[in-house]
Amino acid sequence: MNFYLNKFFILLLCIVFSIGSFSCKKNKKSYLYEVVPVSVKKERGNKSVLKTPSEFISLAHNDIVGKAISSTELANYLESYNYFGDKHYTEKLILKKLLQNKNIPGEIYMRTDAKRFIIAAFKNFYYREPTEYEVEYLSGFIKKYPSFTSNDFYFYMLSGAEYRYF
Amino acid sequence: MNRRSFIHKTALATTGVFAAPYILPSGRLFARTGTQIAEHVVFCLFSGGVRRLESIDMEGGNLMPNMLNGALTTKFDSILSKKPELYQKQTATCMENEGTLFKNFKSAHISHFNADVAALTGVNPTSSIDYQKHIRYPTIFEYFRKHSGASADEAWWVSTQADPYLTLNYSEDTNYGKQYGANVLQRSLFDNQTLINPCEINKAIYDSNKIPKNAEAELATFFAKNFDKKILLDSIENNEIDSTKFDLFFKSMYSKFDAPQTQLWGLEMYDNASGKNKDRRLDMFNVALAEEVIKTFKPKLLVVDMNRVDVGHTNYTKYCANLNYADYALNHLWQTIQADPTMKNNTVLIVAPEHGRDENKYNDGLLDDFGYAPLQHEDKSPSSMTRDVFCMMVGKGIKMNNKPTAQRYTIDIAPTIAEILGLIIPPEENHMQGESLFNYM
Repeated sequence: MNFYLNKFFILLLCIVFSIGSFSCKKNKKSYLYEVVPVSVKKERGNKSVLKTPSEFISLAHNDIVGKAISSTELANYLESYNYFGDKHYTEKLILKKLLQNKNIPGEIYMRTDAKRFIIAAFKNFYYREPTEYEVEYLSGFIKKYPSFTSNDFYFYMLSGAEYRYF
Repeated sequence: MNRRSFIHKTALATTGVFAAPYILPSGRLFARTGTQIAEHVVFCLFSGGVRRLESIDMEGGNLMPNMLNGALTTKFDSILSKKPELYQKQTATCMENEGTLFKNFKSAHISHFNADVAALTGVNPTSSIDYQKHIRYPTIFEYFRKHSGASADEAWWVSTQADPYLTLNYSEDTNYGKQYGANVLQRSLFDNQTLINPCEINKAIYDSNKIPKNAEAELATFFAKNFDKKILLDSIENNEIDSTKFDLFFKSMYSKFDAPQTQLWGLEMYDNASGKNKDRRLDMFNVALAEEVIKTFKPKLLVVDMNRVDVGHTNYTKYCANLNYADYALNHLWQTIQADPTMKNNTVLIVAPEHGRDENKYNDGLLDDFGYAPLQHEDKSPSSMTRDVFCMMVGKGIKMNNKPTAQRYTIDIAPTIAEILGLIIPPEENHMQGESLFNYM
């Protein structure tokens, strides 16, 4: 009798657990359904933290030159950063300086395949893919101005507010 | 109350209501009508401590022959081989004859930064330096920009020194702040080792092919509008038109201030020509930078920092020599202003040290080649010579050959500039404790 009672309790527990685990799975699925399609890299709005001057210079060096900035060089940049009152202008000077040593695809690439160039630039600097509108506008711009260089492109892109945020 | 008495009292009360906004906290009036005396003010601030004995008292001869009457000193002629190169008077007259000299002028402070703050804000600061913050009370730059509607490129602070002095271009005051701040230019930007030397960048970038200006603006707008946040920096901001001017400004500086160059104004710019950036005559260099600002931007308010006299801490002879170089530079600056069609006859030049130096020399054995001991600025006593300075004013609307005897203070300089520029500052926004020096001329 005891044996049958024990067996009944074990069976009952199994049913309860299986119902419980089934319902949990169901909830999880529902939750994932909401979250999974969201891609952080495609959302500009997710960038909300302004980079400090130190972060801005370090990351710009990394993105443009292709390697981490040395502590001495960073210290020198930061010292120079204070020498002119308009930091907006100073940051542009820093970008121009860094672009002199750029290690990213250049002129021919931009002229032969503008769309690919723009997508690569957005991924490299903005950590996202460009929208169709962005590709269309910028491709048109590149085509319209034959003297517009890849350096100019990078400069204006990095001068934009989006690059100043994480 | 009879009718006559009622009308009389009403008239007085009405007059009081209209007059009250123009009365300063100190009770003195200034800029009652907002009438401008001159459109431009250039203020040369010796922020390195100048003792009255070597300047206006001319003990041992005159070190500042362009500013003050008197023959150039011969006190360093005893060892001709080591005699510093001193400059003679450059023009027929001197500033002392052309303007007003306040000889009884006092500083409440004996440390550089707080004394600078007093001169630039009209307020004697009571707190110690916080290197992380801008100063508490509005600077004359902010009063000027807010109450005249001037753009950033019309107000300049040209400094020989680094932080915290570079933060003196605006305050933390909520009625003012960075939107009314001045442009800052620090001479190190043009040094050889500076990583963002604009001259070097100009060579490589600005001279390359460019797209039309309107296309550049269109592209910049595209990247700006493509993101919903703005770049909020602890900084003043020049508008796009100003920025174009800056490109041209820096580009033009290359031929004049490229690091290997040792000559300026036809003079040797180093005490030791073989050692680049060593013992550079920085006040002359800084004034030369200020002159380029004048030529390009025609600033309405320009403050130039001259601090190399602070070498007096370690070398008295160099202190004297630097005082002489600063005097040469001041004259050069004044001649440059007079040669500028916009600023000529429409500028007031103000010259004042932020504080003095101790009367007693510092005898710890560190004597220079001529046997002189160095000078400090540590004497805190109320009557110390460290608090004695002077203030000279020349230019439009300034009395000539005038030497007022009234005792005045460095906090009077900011309200004086406000009066020259015709600023009307609402009393609730006016923190200045000083009075206009025009009340005492």
